Amino acid sequence: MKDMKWFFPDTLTEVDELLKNGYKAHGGGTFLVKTALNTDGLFDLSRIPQLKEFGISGGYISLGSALTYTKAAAVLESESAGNFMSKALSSAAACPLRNRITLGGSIYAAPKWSDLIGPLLASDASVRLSSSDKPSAVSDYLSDKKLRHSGIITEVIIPEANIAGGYYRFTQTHFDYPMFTITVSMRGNEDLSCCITGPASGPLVLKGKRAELLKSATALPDFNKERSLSGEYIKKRAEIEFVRLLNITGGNKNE
Amino acid sequence: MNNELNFSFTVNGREKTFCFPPEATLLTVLRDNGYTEVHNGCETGECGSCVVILNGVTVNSCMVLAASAMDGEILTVRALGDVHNPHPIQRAFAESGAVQCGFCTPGQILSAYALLTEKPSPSDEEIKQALDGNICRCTGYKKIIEAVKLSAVRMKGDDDE
Ligand SMILES: Cc1cc2nc3c(=O)[nH]c(=O)nc-3n(C[C@H](O)[C@H](O)[C@H](O)COP(=O)(O)OP(=O)(O)OC[C@H]3O[C@@H](n4cnc5c(N)ncnc54)[C@H](O)[C@@H]3O)c2cc1C
Repeated sequence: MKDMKWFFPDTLTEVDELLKNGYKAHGGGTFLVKTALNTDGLFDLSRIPQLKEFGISGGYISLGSALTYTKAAAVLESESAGNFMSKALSSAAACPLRNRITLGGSIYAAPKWSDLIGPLLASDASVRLSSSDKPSAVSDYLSDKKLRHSGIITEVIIPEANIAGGYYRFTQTHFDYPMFTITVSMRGNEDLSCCITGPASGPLVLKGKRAELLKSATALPDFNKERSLSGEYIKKRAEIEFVRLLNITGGNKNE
Repeated sequence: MNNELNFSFTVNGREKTFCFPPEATLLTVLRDNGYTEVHNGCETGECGSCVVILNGVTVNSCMVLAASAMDGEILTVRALGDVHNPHPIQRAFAESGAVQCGFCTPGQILSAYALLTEKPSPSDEEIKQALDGNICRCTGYKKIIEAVKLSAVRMKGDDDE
């Protein structure tokens, strides 16, 4: 174990300095504590007021990256009752973890079992980084290593109109990590934007009319074996749940 | 060890300075300093027996790096009451048969306390959601939920008894 230092910045200017020195951000710490703390120093983001702000303007919901799942779910639910994003965040993990897990740490870590990544990709969300004023699409952030290391996430920006729809997470018991998640974002008429997390090849984003998506729903990519379930079972189950969610989201049947 | 930190937290209303390594979890710091009512179960954030209230919300102390709680306000179940002077939630758990081996009970009670502080009249769904991180291997959850409901009635003072 290295001789690790702790820092408690209260401005983003201090964060820039700490990043230059190679220190790592600490959001909720729920990933860091489980993975090796192999770093010279951690800086805690919870004391930077800007990272806990939230609001709506010009059709976009802005959430500070240090907001926890609990807080973000409450903010989103008060803006738009029953939306898939608040549903996803309030069903993730368990209450004492949701009180701790932050948006920024979850996007950076992007674990396979994330309940946040699917809803963000389906809703075409973006993130603002401390290194740039211009937001980056979450999909770009996840795939671009250079971008990920250029600064910390300061803000998550979600188009307000895109969070209506449905969400499903597959677990054997409530407390399991989800083996897959499905998000269906409604875009007016029969247009939908969907994200399925869990395939071995990574999250899958599908956009189109309901009728077209219903066809592709029965040809999902492969899933790996998880615990007691085979990859084939999980894939079949994902296809069935995807069809079900497509049929009930914004359709005639109630979810 | 010279890389130990000296950080202060307020635990159960008393501010104290604790000395611990930078990578220590809040669970180990609390237990090493005598707060053994904070139970050490899975150490992976899954069972909820180490739950404490940190700055008003429940957290798994095994998943919190102690340094990050610097200057924080921590409540363990001991702050609520004891066998001679139990809190209404503690009394309700005992009376409802919501306690068997007792290992998960401090966590369950703190989760109930945090919920009832915020929402004095929670629905069944809200109770289940607030306690979804507290696993009980003895009683099942029916009596625990009944105990939380009884606590809610008593804490509002509209108990018929
Ligand atoms: C038992 C358990 C069950 C879980 N179940 C689920 C679940 O069902 N669904 C789910 O969605 N999640 C779940 N999680 C949470 C998930 O696994 C991660 O632990 C969590 O998303 C990390 O968020 P954090 O804020 O704690 O990040 P941290 O642990 O603080 O940080 C993680 C990484 O992100 C970096 N980082 C932190 N903040 C920022 C920032 N603002 N910008 C850039 N980088 C940053 C850190 O340097 C670190 O590398 C679970 C966790 C546990 C322990």
